[in-house]
Amino acid sequence: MYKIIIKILHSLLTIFLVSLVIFFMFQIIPGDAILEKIGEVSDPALESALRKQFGMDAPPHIRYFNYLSGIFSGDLGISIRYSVPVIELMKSRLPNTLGITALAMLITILIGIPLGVITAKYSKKSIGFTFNIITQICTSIPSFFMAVILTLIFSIWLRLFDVVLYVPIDQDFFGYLKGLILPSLAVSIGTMATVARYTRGSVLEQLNMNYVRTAQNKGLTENYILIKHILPNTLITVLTIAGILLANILGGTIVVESAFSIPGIGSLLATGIKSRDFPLVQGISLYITICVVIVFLILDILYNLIDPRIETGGSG
Amino acid sequence: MKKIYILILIFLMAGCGQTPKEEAKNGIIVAIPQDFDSLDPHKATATGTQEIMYNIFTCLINTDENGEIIPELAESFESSDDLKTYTFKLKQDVIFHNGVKMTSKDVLYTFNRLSGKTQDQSEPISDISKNIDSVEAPDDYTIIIHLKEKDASFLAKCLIAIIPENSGPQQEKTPIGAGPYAFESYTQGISLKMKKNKDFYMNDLPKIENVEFKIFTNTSAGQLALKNGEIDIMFNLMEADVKAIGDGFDILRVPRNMVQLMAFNYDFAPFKDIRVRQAINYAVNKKEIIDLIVPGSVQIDTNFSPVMAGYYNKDVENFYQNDIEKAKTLLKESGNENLSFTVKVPSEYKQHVDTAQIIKQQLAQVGIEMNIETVEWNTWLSEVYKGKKFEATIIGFTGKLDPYPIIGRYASDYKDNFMSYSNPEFDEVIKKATAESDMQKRTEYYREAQMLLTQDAAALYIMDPSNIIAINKNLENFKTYPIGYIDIKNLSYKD
Repeated sequence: MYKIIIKILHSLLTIFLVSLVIFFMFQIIPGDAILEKIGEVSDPALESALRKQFGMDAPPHIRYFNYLSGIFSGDLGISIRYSVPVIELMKSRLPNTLGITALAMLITILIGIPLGVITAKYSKKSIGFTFNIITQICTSIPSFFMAVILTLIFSIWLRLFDVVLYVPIDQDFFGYLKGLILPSLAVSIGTMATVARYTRGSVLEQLNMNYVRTAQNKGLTENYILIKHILPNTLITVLTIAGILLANILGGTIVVESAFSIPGIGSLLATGIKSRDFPLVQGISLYITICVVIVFLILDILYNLIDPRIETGGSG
Repeated sequence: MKKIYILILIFLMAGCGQTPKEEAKNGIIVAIPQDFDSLDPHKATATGTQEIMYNIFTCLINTDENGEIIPELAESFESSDDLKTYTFKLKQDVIFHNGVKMTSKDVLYTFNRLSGKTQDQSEPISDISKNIDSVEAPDDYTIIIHLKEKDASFLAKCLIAIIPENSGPQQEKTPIGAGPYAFESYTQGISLKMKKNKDFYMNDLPKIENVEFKIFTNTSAGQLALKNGEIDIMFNLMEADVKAIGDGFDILRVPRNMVQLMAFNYDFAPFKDIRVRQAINYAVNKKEIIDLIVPGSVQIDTNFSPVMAGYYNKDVENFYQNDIEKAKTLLKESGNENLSFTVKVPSEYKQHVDTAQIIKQQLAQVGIEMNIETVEWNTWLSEVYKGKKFEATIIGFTGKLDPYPIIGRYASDYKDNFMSYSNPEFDEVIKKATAESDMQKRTEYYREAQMLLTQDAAALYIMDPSNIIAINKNLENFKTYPIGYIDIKNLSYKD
């Protein structure tokens, strides 16, 4: 328990540092949110009214202080680009990003791991070769390109989906799920291939271990050995990889959301950065930082469950 | 484990199967490239927002297809001889989307809001307020605006959304106007929906019942959707895309009333010499640029697009014929044979970046080394436009109804004269133009100003890049205007 509290304190410090870094980056990079809003048709009256409205007329350290004190009262500020509270924007977009991330992670694990195990089981030379080539291709195609390929295949040629698939979750749940299929596929094909490769490698390694031979001599069936003995031993490696891949997936959604015209957190972040919308970017990074911190906490706990010998917490 | 797979399979199956395209002929979907900056018409400044919101909001005036000012909510208007008083007689049959009849009170409220003189708005939010002395409403259908100083372009500035009295604070969430379409819903990053205003003052308009403006920040997604028949109208296509979208669309190529130019910074020493500026004008082959980038666009030779025919000066055309030798001689005379400079181009505008590439090669033929630096649009605004930190830049100025905001940019006292151009003779002409009440004379002054810019080689003027529009073949009566205005009200499906 003590270790977990230390970990949470660490996480809070991380979040604070991230917010500080972002704030300073926004001071350094050229560009101005109000200028972006009013464009080249400049109207000094409107400009000064907007600066006042968004508190941009105060000096930087005051703005940062205001921002911090806002967070403690649960107020993330108002997006300059959209003139809407940041929290409201994020709320409306979160289901989409979470949906893609969850579905992509599901595909990655539920298809990646079995694929790795099966190809390891039938590890003839020719299969290994084809498997390597296919997974290599899958991992090297960037997700935005995968998005275009999938749209071409499923929407233009096969006409199974519309190009614009997105349906808000509160309007039609199944429509919403349907809209997430292609985007999650686009993000997860690469990560799925990576998981499959690691699983296969790890299983092949275990197959040569003494305990496997012992089990075989005991007369256990091949499948039983694979699932009951080998798989748990490979899971540690695979879980670590999956944790890292989650970061990949989060990054991938940013690109894929805009490719599929899905209003998610990723595309919101991209807009925020482009329009120098400090409150918006700060709010989203806060969210992402928290997500990553939580995922690593969960991973630590999972390690413990799978192999209680692993020491977690402490300096982590 | 097996159960999970079966579940996923069911989900996938449920997901497949083509949804039937909406066959109903009462709605259209328009693709737009960016999100809205604000739904409040007085706080939105992006052309991309305004051109859509003119369907929800109407102004005292409007424009016809040739850029002439016509009355809209006003029945008629007139200005006093000293150009300091403008009187508008209002139409009596205009009803706002909230069911309330429009009177002069609403117009008064609108102008007061802009000047920061209402309860809900205590600070001015528009520059127009600076020159307004007072606004009065002597009766329900008359509005008189008194100006502090005379202004011949005031009428064109009245392209301001008239909103119902005291509706200011709610406009950001639920815009209310008196336009042909009423606001229905808006989802950030997705779309804005409008429905027909049944009380619109033009009886048989609009024809289309529902309009959805769908946001495609990713152009390739937009084009794929267009190709797939999910969109009825799309703007700003590239020439290369036209063939790819199939034959279900009519393709329109319309001038934008935009001035694409390479602007010089006059604080950069070599550009102070007119011979250098002329040399660049002689060295660049505009026809080649147009043919390669937006074929069919109108070439321009001054800071004005020929599409605004009323004010345009034809004499500037082909003032600098492409002539490599002459360019070389001029450079030699000025002592700038080894001229090297950097042009900053906003990376979001592919057209300008491509233009820079071609100019770079053309200038290399006369020995000028032009380096290209692409910057984000936001950086461009703060560094180039406000900070004046540049040597040259390629950009497009969007046109307005009045010539002043287009040509007036070169006046020494213009607030955003980012090129630091200064020419006393030009300043004098512009001053006369803004104070002239006689339309004919005013036009003459603006024509003279155009000629002065050309003679002075004030910048390298390139083209008015055509807007390539794809529109569903079954639609007819789509009108285009020399200002940003996507006019849906006349559109209808062919029988």
